[in-house]
Amino acid sequence: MKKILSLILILIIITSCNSSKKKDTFDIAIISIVEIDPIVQLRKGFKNVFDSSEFAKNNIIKYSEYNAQNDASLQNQIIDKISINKPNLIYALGTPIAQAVQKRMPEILLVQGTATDPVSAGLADSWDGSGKNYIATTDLPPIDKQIKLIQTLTPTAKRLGIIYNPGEINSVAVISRLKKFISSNSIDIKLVERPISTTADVATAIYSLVGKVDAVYLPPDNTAHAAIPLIGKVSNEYNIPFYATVESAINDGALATLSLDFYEMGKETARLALEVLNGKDPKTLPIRASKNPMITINAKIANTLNIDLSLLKNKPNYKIEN
Amino acid sequence: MLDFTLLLILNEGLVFGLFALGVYLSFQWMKFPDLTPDGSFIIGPIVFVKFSMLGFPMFFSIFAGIFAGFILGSITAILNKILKIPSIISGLIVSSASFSIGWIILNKPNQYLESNSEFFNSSMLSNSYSLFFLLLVIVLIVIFLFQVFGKSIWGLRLRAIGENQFLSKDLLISEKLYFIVGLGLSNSIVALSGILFIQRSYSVDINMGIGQTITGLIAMILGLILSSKSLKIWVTVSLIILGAIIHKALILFTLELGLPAESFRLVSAFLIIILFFFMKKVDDNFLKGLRWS
Repeated sequence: MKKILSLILILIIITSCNSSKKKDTFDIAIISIVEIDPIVQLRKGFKNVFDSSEFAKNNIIKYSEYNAQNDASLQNQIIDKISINKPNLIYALGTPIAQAVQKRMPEILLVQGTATDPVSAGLADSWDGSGKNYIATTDLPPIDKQIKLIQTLTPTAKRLGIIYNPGEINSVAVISRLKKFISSNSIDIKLVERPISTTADVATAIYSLVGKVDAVYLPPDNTAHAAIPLIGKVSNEYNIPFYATVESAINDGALATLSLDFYEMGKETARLALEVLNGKDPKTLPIRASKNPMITINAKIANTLNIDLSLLKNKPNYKIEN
Repeated sequence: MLDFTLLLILNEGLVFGLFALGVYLSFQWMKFPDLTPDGSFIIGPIVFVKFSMLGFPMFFSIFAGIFAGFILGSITAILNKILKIPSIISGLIVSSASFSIGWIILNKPNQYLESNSEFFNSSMLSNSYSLFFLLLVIVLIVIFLFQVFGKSIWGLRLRAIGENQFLSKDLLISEKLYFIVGLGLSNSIVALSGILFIQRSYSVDINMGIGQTITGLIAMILGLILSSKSLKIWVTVSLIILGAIIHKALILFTLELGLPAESFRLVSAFLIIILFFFMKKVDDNFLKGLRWS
């Protein structure tokens, strides 16, 4: 019994040592769902704009950063912790986090760095205005431009292999839009899907695509992201053009990437947040998308695949790397 | 009025206390290293959310979710006892399959909670209180059921078979049936804890079950250490709940201390090491009891 009593005592001591809230500071809580490069870039861009803004001169900005490491229970407890000492703004990187924060602290301004589809996630009422204390940028890749790129570089590609994790709502949103776009515009491209559930599955998936597809497309998938070098290696070995959605893939064997700059997206998110802090109503601000996605082409790989790049030189938003 | 921090810890702790009880039933009573909870923790809430979205009454949806957990547990038992697949592998098969099953049921990986799947619709603070009292009632009922079940002829037989599966022949009972029901019950409890869990996270996500069995194990071992000398079922079971609360309090404490969240798995790992060390001090025979290890 003594043991139990002492444990309860420890519990009470733990819970009673709350740090007191300081005045005159602007608290920003940043909660990331997992530590991957796009999220790191989003955080960097966000802080960069915030720190150099007019707002930062008038207020002391204090960041507290949390990482849920893909653990649903830790995520709950992080939000618990934040709800005890409420910050002035919450920057959520990850849809489940945003969903929980919005329900539990509706009075705090919630900023989400790249929500892929905030409307179907129940976070916003519509794309033109969330109707809630919520603003976000979206990382939905421009499907039309993506398909156009594939058709320009490899017009003979009719079977497109896709590797993605059906457990990620962002990838699913991209794939369903891709299917819709292809069928509604009656484009002559057949999708060959290879769902994966862990990064380790990518090897099997990419080898099983060899001979069955004319090109490989990788959506912005957090699970497949770590295996990009492998996909690049295999697709170059078998001369399959590989299209990706992160720019770094160009050094890992991708023929071309139509990518969103997550650092820029983070900056854009911060600008959106500053607009609200300067008096705009978050309920009416539309979900903002990236304006100019960058196309990067690997000239070396294009050469081995006999693709003529001369027409694409000097085009805006096109970057050709050797 | 309870301190708000304590209230939040108790809520999270009670949810995982239930989870730990499910783990306790399979690991300690049946001596079956069951990994299905990773799966039933997502299938339970997914089935619950699906049914309530289809317009079924709340109680029916909860029951459906719990029953889904029961089915998952019994499938693991069938794989192990009838198809003779090793116990850990059968649990792994079912929990990884439930990833896909959950996806098929929801037709997407993440679903936010609509108002008809929320237990309470009031403001946040009173929500936490209502949830706490609901959890307290549920936990007390489950503790009571454990006590009754453990003393019943069914419970006694289940524990006897767990200790020595050859006993089933002497007792002239079907070992298979007892394992199917036993694992079913253990995973029903886990499914219930999942349904309560989403009342705090406000969304059901098919990734949320990953690694939760370990969390349950930590709470279970903590509880077993605290109750090392007690033979009363209700004492052990209540102390497992307390173990879960302590574990969650420690994690919140590391967050409060400002330690980076990255270190939290390390905290859990150290906790397990320290726990095993204590366990040896408390009772040397204890480790032998954990035969699945």
